[in-house]
Amino acid sequence: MALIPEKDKAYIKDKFEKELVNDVTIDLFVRPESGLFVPGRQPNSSKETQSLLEEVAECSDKITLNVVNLVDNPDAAAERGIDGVPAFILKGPDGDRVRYFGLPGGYEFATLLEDLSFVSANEPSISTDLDAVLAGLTEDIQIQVFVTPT
Amino acid sequence: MAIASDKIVADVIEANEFPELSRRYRVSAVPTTVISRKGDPNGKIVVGSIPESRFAQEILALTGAGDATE
Repeated sequence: MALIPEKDKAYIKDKFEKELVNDVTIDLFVRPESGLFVPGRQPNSSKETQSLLEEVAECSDKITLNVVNLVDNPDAAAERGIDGVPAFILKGPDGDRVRYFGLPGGYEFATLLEDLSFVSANEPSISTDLDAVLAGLTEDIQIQVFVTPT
Repeated sequence: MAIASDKIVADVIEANEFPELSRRYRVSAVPTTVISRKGDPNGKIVVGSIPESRFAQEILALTGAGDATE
């Protein structure tokens, strides 16, 4: 069963048609559940996240989804600085510095659609003052935003 | 900001799916934002939406170039 209703898909396709400029790759890291209970291992939404992102990628030829199964390739996530699953990285013309951890549900789905547009267009929507601050950075900064799908 | 600067990585984290990480930063409401140096588990924790001016202040304070807000 599709996660995104057809009328919403039509809206998303139209949005991507208008806003996507460059190709965007989504590198998704998953560890599908085996159905076995493993003490200490938290169940995760890998399957749902993959399904959702597959449907998103179908909405534009400019979006490519790469799925890395950590059962088959256990070191792949660490190589990209990923320490939890599901996680995915949005990769556009200028890099891969926007990352999501967990299923982007609820209002976060809208955020994801906007981020895909921003990454593709490579046009950040920040003020010139903030841009000036960022231009002066000499060390790497990590910004983690905790959300819930409300 | 992560699109504007190659010095910034931006992570969106579903708090319920990553409870250990949420506990580390005492996340009790969303959005909660943690601004830190890359690789540093400590950082400035801000609850609620953050205007751009506040982001700029916190980044400057973190890098020693300005004063943070309380």
